[in-house]
Amino acid sequence: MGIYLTLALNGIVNGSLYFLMAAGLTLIFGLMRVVNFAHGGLYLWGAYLAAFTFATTGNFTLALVAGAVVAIVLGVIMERGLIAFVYHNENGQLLVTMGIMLILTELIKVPFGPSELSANTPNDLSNSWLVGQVVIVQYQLFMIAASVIVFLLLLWVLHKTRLGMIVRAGVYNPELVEACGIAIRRVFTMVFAVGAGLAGLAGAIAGPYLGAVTPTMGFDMQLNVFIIVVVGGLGSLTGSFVASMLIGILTAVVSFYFSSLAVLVNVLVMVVVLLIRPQGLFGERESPA
Amino acid sequence: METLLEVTNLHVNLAGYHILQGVNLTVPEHAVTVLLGRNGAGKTTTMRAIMGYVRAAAGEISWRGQPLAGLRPYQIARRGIGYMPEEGHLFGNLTVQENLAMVGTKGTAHAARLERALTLFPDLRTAFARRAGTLSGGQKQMLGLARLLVADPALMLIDEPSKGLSPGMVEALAATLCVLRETSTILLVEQNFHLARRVGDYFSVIDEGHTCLSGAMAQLVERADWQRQYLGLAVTSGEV
Repeated sequence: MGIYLTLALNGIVNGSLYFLMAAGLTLIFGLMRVVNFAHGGLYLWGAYLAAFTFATTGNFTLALVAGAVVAIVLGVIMERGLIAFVYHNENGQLLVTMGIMLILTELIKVPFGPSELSANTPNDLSNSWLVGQVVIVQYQLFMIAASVIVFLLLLWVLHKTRLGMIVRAGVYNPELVEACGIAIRRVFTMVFAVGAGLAGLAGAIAGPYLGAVTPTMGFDMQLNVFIIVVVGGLGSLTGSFVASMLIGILTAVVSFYFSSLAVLVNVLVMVVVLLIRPQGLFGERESPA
Repeated sequence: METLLEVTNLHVNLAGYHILQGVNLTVPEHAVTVLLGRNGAGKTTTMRAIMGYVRAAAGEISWRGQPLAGLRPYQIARRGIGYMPEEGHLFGNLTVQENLAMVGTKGTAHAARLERALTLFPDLRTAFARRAGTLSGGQKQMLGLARLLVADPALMLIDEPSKGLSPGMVEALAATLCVLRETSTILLVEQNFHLARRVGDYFSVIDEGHTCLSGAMAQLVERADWQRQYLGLAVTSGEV
């Protein structure tokens, strides 16, 4: 019994990390329909900057801020400098963001080298407890709490604020938003920045959980996160949250028994969901205006 | 009567085609000007050029004497031009209430305009919390007009609001436009000449990308030969 509870807990922790990254991708890919294959690069840079900041200052809060801020800066540069020219051009987005992903992955080796960089857990979050047969680590609880807070905060902004309403309107009909006197391009840049910042934050939080950050961690994470956004339903935060937990638990269980099959099973889950429900678990069929 | 909007020798190229080849248009304040013409004549492109969605290759569009060239659509909207496009004139994923809130939510003047819109379109009051995408065709047109009413721009650009509506709905639309014309300046694109003559004070006919005729609507109503030549109609004078 203990092993199943441990696997479930690990799955939820995995899912929390997935969601932190998937939340940003839900905004960028799910809502704005930008196929951002550079999302993993933003996660990677957030992870490295946070690990470096924590190693040099010992301040974990500052490390989290550094991870998010570097991703926001990179995200804004990406959006304004390149992606703005390929809105409504999915092939262009694919090529541009894949190129950015490769550049970000290689560029991180310039200041930090090709080897892994240790990412320590802050002392304040290093406790652990034995509950029954399950070991509960304080940092894991922090990760779960962070993902729930991000989930609730984004839901509130999107559905209870004027900004959220403008974002939802802009995704549906950006021209008409402009006809309402609203500078939709600025709103999109802001949404992209928030999505990028969430990827950086996910990376910053992932470092101590993984114990080290590596140049390939963005690629490693990216496929599962795309699967999550598609399975959850494009643009659905609730869908992303549920799918994150589903894929997180599935990954934990499958990895325990057949470690090499985890990604394959996740891809199969996506295929099955799309066959049964093409709009994803919580996605909506698009209706004409 | 002050001229709000003036379009002078407007040329627009789209996808390599010379779509507008010299459109001239004057929109006086406190009147309804109807842009007429056959399908594909360039009416919608003219509206989109005024709103800044397409760039003028030559010519000038001026608003209260100031050129609009180089401005983004949101900047043009903030100068007081409201736009209801022919297609996609609402946010189908938002509720009726949210659609109307897109043009602002603050102030007693806004509340009064919202109340006026809901009084004019009672269907929208009952569907206030419904998603706009689930409304009927007529209700969608009403919502597009209601959003303009709430925004209260100095000039309303309305692109073919009768398209796809049943005769009964067109009649209701005509009545609504007659109410709007009492307080608003409107530039209306309309293919339905019966509707156009009922609400219009002035007209301008676009044919093959250029303006070929302009004047008072009463003149056009009297001239069956113009209607035949420029609009392809066979309406006799006085027919409604």
